[in-house]
Amino acid sequence: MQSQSNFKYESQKLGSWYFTVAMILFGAQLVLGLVAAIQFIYPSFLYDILDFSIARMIHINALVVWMLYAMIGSVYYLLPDETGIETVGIGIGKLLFWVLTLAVTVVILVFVFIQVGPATQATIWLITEGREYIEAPRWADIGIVVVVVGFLINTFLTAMKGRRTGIMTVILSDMIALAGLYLAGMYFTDNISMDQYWWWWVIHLWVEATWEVMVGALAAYALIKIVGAKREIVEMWLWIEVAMLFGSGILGLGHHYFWIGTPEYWWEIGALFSSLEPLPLIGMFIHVLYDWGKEKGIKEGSGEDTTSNNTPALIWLISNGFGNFLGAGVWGFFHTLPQVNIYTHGTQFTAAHGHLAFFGAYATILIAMFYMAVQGKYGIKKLRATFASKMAIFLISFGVLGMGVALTIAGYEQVLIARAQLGATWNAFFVAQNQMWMSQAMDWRLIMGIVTTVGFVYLVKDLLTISKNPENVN
Amino acid sequence: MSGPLYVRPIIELNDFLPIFVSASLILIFGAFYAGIVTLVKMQKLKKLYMFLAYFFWILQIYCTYFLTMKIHSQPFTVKAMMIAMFAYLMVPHIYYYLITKSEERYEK
Amino acid sequence: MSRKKVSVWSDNRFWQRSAIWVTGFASLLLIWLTFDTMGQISMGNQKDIDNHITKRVPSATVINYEVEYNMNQNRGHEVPVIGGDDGKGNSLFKVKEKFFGRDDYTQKEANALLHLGKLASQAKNCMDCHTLLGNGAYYAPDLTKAWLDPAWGKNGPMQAMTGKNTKEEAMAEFLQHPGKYPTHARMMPNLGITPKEAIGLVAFLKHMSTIDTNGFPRGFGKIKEGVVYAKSK
Ligand code: HEC
Ligand code: HEM
Ligand code: HEM
Ligand SMILES: [Fe+2]
Repeated sequence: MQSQSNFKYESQKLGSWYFTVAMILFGAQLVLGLVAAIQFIYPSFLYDILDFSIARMIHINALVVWMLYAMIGSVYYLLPDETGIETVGIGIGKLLFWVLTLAVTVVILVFVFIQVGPATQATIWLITEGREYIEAPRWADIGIVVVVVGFLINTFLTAMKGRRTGIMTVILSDMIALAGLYLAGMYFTDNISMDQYWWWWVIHLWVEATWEVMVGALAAYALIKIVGAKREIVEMWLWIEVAMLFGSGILGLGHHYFWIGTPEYWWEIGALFSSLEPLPLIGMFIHVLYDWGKEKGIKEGSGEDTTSNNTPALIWLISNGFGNFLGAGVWGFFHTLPQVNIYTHGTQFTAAHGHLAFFGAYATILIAMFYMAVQGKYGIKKLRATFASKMAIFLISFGVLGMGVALTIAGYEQVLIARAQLGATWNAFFVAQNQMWMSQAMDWRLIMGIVTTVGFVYLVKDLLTISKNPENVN
Repeated sequence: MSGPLYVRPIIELNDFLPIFVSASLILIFGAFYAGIVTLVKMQKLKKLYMFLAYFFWILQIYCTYFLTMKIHSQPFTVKAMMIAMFAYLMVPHIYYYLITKSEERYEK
Repeated sequence: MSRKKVSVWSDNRFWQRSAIWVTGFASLLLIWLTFDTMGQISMGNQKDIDNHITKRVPSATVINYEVEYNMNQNRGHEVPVIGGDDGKGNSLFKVKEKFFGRDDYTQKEANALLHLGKLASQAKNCMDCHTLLGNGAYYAPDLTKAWLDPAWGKNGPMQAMTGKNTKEEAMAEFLQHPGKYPTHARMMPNLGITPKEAIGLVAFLKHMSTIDTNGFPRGFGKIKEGVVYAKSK
């Protein structure tokens, strides 16, 4: 937002605004995560002031919203690159950005200060919908839909007018699906089974279908931009990934329909399709490594400088390939069979998987996009990693992995004691919570959370100052 | 009668750890398998390493077999697992075949 | 561009079409299954109960009946049993149970209570501390079968602690003033739940315990050590 910006297009500038808000929300997410983690250890911390439910709600809502911001920002950012023209209706796009940001601010303030409401429809409309991840009240839902529709029109008109690439086709259709699914999240019913059935359409079909495809498209763009991969090949891969991700992910939805009142046939459907879900993730990982290795080899052959033109973005991109496979693939698969899931459903295992998957699959690649925007903004030809870049990636990844391991140990203990031995009652729950393994795991989660947060501070510092690194090539 | 029939049989306490470990190893071995195949095809590793790759695939199968037995799978799960394992065997080869084809087409 | 022997396998359009077909096919299958599932999980009504039809999600009027969670021989796992067990784990829909002093809630009254309870569960965000049907947060116990938790029963500590003689009254009292009845250092906060909302919430919890969750949670309340009643913090 400063004057020395090198952006050629307003759309890229708008993209960087979205990224800025995304980083702020990311910070808020971590702070509230720490509050919730402290409450696990000292339950009286902020009791009746900012209860666990509120801290956690903001933690995960900030998470979802910052990622959506970063995705929208990425699209605005790459749009001129892909289409070769300025985004059509960019003025409206900027207006929508302010509308959305205002709405998000109001929602967060209401969450912090009003928190809960009486059992009336008015609460659902104005304060909270009380459904995990998508608690935003209905007025905000409608606002979000309006903004997203505006964003889609921006994108659509631009893609029609400019060059039409495979990446843009995928992004556009994916974004339409993503926005459409959100409608399933606005539905109120007295029937809790029905409620959960549609709620998973949003959560699962977002993170295991439409968002993953978005990652595929962003990775494709990044491979072309920072590694110099060939567009035709990358786009062919993108289509293959779309086929595999949707082919397994859409019906993989069944792994959430084992125990919510839905019929038994979901056991088989969920088991089969979700066992196939890690396959495209392995494919994406190998694809990134392959392209990187190949282009490096070509450059070596012709005696060129083999470093990529954006080292920090490349490191985050590679950790995306790996993290996606680890967090979503490995941690997802090990509780996805119904025989196992009946024990692990709704335990700390789920939390371990949730952290590793959201981080590995999404945070990583979106941070890579932030670095690409920094590179674009300052017009740097080769952006080199600084000490802070390295600290950021090391501390954040190490911290999140540490939290994942701690939560996995906690989940294992919880499964053995509360589920397998004691039958999941109120008392069983607390017997497991008060075991030493559990309480130590909670201590470690907090410690690793602090490590993550320190890494985040490095990340902020780096994004703000990396352009001044004397090693950069302009 | 030996008690009620469970469609989701009870898992022995001592079996939980092996179950979780083998479930993770399935994918980790799978990644090794796919990774080594790719490296060999990229000629970063000697052809000989293909044996190692298949060895990892066999380990993967073993873990899958072990897991399906430990969780007392019904025939359906066993079949689903067999399909998944076959898919794992084929996928790196298919990937590489496609990569070569597309490079032939677009790089020349 | 000169195209030598080109194979379909490296053809962008081929893969684009494949992606569309695969996605379309998976989506259609999902939609078809959704229709079937919707039929199976739609909420029953009193007529079903009168006709002894077991629904996966039964009528709100189950609050008039006694509820258990027993092994079903045919299904091979535990299921909710409403109004008495026929000995094989099937519901008899006979044995009534008073709910706040009445066992004759009409369909309309019961629906209204459930509606209020469901709204309250969202307005107070139960799901960001507890799990419902196993989904939600992991800070506090799963509420799927909370109605059947031994701690609320005749031999449990909660009725005595809250000074109430019935399960439903004890639960309603606890929900209004959880800070007054701590059993663990990790307490439930006061969420400003009114007496009316509390009754609705208890109806919601009782109804949820009658949903057929394919045997989740396994062995709930059946394992002796699991019901060694709430020791203190
Ligand atoms: C801020 C977190 C929080 C929120 C929000 C919350 N609870 Fe709780 N709840 C707890 C904790 C912690 C306990 C365990 C208290 C204890 O053991 O002393 C508990 C215990 C309970 C119990 C008794 C445990 C059992 O298994 O029967 C019930 C019932 C209950 N809560 C229902 C609700 C309902 C209904 C709501 C929503 C209206 C709700 N809670 C919202 C934290 C919360
Ligand atoms: C990037 C991709 C993914 C993300 C971000 C993700 C995230 C999550 C989150 C946050 C939850 C918890 C939801 C809740 O709060 O109740 C969850 C649950 C679950 N995920 Fe994933 N996931 C991903 C991929 C996968 C994959 C590939 C699999 C399987 C192979 C999988 C299997 C599961 C299962 C079985 C559950 C249910 C856990 C339970 O029963 O409590 N996930 N996922
Ligand atoms: C400072 C670091 C962090 C801390 C201390 C922290 C702490 C927590 C806590 C205490 C919960 C509630 C778990 C429960 O209900 O028992 C939670 C949930 C969650 N957090 Fe974090 N978190 C941190 C960072 C992150 C990051 C970086 C991500 C992802 C990018 C993330 C994603 C999630 C998700 C998806 C959930 C919901 C999990 C589920 O329902 O299964 N968190 N976190
Ligand atoms: Fe899922």
